[in-house]
Parts: sequence; C-alpha cells; structure tokens
Amino acid sequence: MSVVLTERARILRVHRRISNEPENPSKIMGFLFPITKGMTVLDALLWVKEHKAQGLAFRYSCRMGICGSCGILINGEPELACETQITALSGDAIEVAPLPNFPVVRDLVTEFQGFFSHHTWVMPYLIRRNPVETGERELLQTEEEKLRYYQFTMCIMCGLCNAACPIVGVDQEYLGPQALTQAYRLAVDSRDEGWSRRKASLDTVHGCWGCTVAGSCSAACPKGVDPALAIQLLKRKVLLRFARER
Amino acid sequence: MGGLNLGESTLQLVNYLMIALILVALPLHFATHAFLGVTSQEESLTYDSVIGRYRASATVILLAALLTGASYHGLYGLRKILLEVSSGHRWDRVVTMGIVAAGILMLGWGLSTIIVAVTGT
Repeated sequence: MSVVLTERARILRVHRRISNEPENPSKIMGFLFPITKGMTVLDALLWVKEHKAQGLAFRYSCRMGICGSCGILINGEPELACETQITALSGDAIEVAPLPNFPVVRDLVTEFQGFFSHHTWVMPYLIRRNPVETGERELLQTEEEKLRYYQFTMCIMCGLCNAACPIVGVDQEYLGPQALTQAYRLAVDSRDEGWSRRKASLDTVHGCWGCTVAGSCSAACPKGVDPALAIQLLKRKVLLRFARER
Repeated sequence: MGGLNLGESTLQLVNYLMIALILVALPLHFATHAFLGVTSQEESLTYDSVIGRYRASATVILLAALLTGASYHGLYGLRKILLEVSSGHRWDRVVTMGIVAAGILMLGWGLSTIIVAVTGT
C-alpha cells in the first residue's frame, strides 16, 4: 500500500522493542500522522498511540520541558519529545528511538536505575559537619556565591547528556556527566561541607577523570546546562585540593 | 591505583608534568640532530656522533627524561583506554598492574641501553 504524503502529514518511524533481551531485536514501524499547528514529537507519539498503535510505550509527564521524562532519540539526536516541534525537523519521515546508553524496557522506555544510582553515588544534597544547625538557622550566601553553581541547578535529570556521552556508552562504571555536574554544583556551593566525603568517588578514572571532553553532553542538554564545563572545573578543583592537601 | 592507593589526580598530575617534560625535551632532542653541534642530520646519525653524544651528560639526561616522559604518558593513555574496554575492580587492578609492569620493563630496558652506551660496557 503506497502512502501519500502531503504538507499536512508525515511519517513517524518508531524503533519498537519488546525488551532488552538479545532475542528481541528492535524493529522499525512507520506510522502516518496528520500535522497540526504547534505539534511536537510527543504530540505525534500520542496521536499514534491513540489511533494506530495502542501498545506503543513511551514515557512522558509534564509536556512542557520540566520533568525530563520524554527524552528519546529523534532523528539520531537525544532530545525531549515535548520540546521538539515537528515542523523544525526536516525530511518526510521522523525517526524516534530509545535513548542510547540506557537499557530498553520496552519501545521508547528506557531503564534509569543505573543513572539514578550514579546520581545517588555523589551524594547530591547539602552536607554539613553539624547537621542539626541546618534546621536551626538559614544558611545565607551572597549572589556571587549563588552564581558559581546556579546554571548547574537547572538539570532536570532527563538523561540526554548521558545518552550523548561516548564514555557512558563504553564504561558502565563511569559516573556520567549528569552525576558529575551535580557533584560540581555542590562542590562550589558555599553552604556545603561534604567535599571530603565526595572526593573519593570523584577522584577516580571512572569519576571526573573518565571524561575525554567530547562535549556532546553540553550540546544535548535541553536546559542549557554545560556539563562538560562542570566536569573540567571539577577536575581543576580536585587538582587544586590535591595541591592544598599534600 | 590498584593496591598502591594513589588517587587518580596524583597520576593525572604526574601525567601533566610528563607532558611538560616532553614538550621541553623533544625539541631539544630534535635540535641535537639538526643544528646543535652537528653539520647535518645524516652526520648526526653516524656511529661516532651518536656515541659521542651519549658521552655528554646533558644528552644522557635529556634522553632519560624523554624516555621517562614518553613512557609514562603513553602507558597512562593506554591504561585509560583499556579501563574503558571492560569494567570491574578486578579488571582495573589487572590493567593497572600490567601497565606498571610494562612501564618498569620499558624504563629498565631503555635506561640500561643508555647506561651501556655511556659506560661503553
């Protein structure tokens, strides 16, 4: 059956997979969908799920680029489906696939357990030598102190940076750009006193020294965070601490 | 680093120092073959010229520095590549110890060659 494409219709080519098992390789299925004004890739996926393939699995929540749930590979680039306009993509067909460097649960849904465990590994919370005082008084800081880490608080944990990172793809132990960025965010926070506890996990070949500065994490981030910069600053911080401590 | 308990920053810092050492030693090494005390590169490669330079302590220090810097820098890079190939503490330890052993062999062999040339034994 031939498909007639008009200006108001395009094909969504979806990589579908039942599970991550090798005996279940992914297959690509094409779906013709109508374009509406302001339509995003997430809208197209929802249209396909409603009209063509009810079993299609993908993750989403806020639909406005805040929750970070709908990260997928769109035409080979890691993007948020809710922030990618259909009209901004060239070609008759739009190819969507699950994020690379993450195990596939089903279709476009990927497993984030390893991602979250790496995030947890860097202790992504304020650490004080005297934890009781945090409940008793405010920890004040100047505007300048806040700006040292502010951009890195914009992370929504969508995982696009880890999907784009070539090192995450080959080294399962590598903490990854997201976790390392959060480690740096806390390392330069004037209120935090947990550097000595975090340093051991960061100062390893699977920590900040695993980064080869490909820079793809920064290019992929939908929130304008620069993880590659954070990791290089983290390296400098580790080395400067090294000089001070020895 | 394996059982030596060195932070990765220590190894990285040494790596940076070795890069600086190579950047200084390599141009000097080329210069000794091009215009420092020789009329041409062909002349610098003759047996007498080579042995003559080995008898000069500055050249010996230069060659030893170059050997040390290049060996460390190369093996450190190789270690990082190998650590990405697989994962696990056991693999990390095997790779690191293997690289340390290879470094000791390379430096031992290279330095012994320099010493033999210097002493003429």
